[in-house]
Amino acid sequence: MNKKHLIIFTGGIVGILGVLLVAAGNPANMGYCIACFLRDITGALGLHRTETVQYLRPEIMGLVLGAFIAALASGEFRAVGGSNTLTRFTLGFFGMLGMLVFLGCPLRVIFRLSAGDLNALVGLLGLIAGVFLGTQFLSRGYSLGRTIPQSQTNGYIFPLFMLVLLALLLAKPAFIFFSTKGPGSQRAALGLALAAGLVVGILAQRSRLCMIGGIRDFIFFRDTYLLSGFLAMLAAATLGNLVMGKFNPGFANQPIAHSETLWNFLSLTLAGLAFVLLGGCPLRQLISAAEGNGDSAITVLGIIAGAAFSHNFSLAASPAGVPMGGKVAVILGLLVVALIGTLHTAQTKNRGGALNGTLS
Amino acid sequence: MAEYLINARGLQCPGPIVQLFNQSKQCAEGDVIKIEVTDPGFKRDVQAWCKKTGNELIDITEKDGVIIATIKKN
Repeated sequence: MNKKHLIIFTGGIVGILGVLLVAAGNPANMGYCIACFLRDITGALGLHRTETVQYLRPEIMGLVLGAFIAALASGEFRAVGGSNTLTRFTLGFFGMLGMLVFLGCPLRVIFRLSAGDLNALVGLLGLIAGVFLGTQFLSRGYSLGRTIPQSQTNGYIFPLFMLVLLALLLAKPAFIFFSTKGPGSQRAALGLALAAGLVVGILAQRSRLCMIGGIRDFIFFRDTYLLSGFLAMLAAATLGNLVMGKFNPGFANQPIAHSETLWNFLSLTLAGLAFVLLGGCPLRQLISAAEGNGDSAITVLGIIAGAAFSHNFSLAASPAGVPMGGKVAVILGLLVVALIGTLHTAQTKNRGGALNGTLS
Repeated sequence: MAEYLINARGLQCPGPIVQLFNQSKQCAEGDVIKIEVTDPGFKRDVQAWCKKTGNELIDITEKDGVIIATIKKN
């Protein structure tokens, strides 16, 4: 299978699995949302106490373990890190604040759209705006610098962390929180969710599926490779929702969504900007962490910290709307992330373009 | 005709292709850019980029985890 076919196949599989996972018990239009599932894991570990969103989502563990196995098998597992790690943590943190005001990651944008949620269209426009802003920094020289090789042990820690989470899910000790109501209580069967994660992890590692990268590459080079995966996902999920009778077009009364247009737009502008400066969407950060990239693992920890902060300080939106704190967080987030982009661009230039040299 | 070297080792996606893109904007027709990259996704990216931009991918090799691509600006 050539690469183009592989990414279209991957997108199609993710789209179908997303619809199937909802049919099997996952929350509506949330077949495979990285932000929501990391938020649920954060809650299950007691890092926030919102009782409706606490569960150790096996899809995330499967995803990381699948990508880890694929990276080992293909020789692409490389323990690297050390590239502006704290900046990555901060960008992940603020990106998550944005996603929890929108109520979903770029993958959920697709799943919400595929079920007719037009609020997601507003979010998508915001996401594109954020990526566009980010490409302005990239074209002016923005870079988070080089990674350097690390101890192999460093690369194994993140996949091992996922194994520990899986063990906790199976053992269900008293200190792990499991929602009994709300989205966190809605779950596909463990085996199905884990298998879906493994399949997507393997395929996403091989194809490098990334929605932020897809929009970025299209803006930059008019390259449709990564974008084609998401178009395939949208087509497959829309078809699936039509078949399942779950396609309900409109703005009002969409599941786990709100209709505050400005904040749907700005929240994903923030997420788009943060993740394009990170080099890839939350899914891509998980895959990259599974491939041994310690910087991406720290980014995921930043996302988890963002989830905890967001719920502990009532910044996350709900179907009732966006709280004032969430609106302030989005504006502050846009300022902080834009400042990070500006300062890193200036500092790259100040280093005198040391990356390049003239041979003759 | 000038030759340029970009050492993009250690840069993660999209760093290497952005470096190439920015360098190519400063090059004249016929100039050659050699770029060294460790990000495995670059192999596909550089081929797609050359196809889109009409630049010529003269050579691409990989040794010890380092991809070396040579591109001629058209």
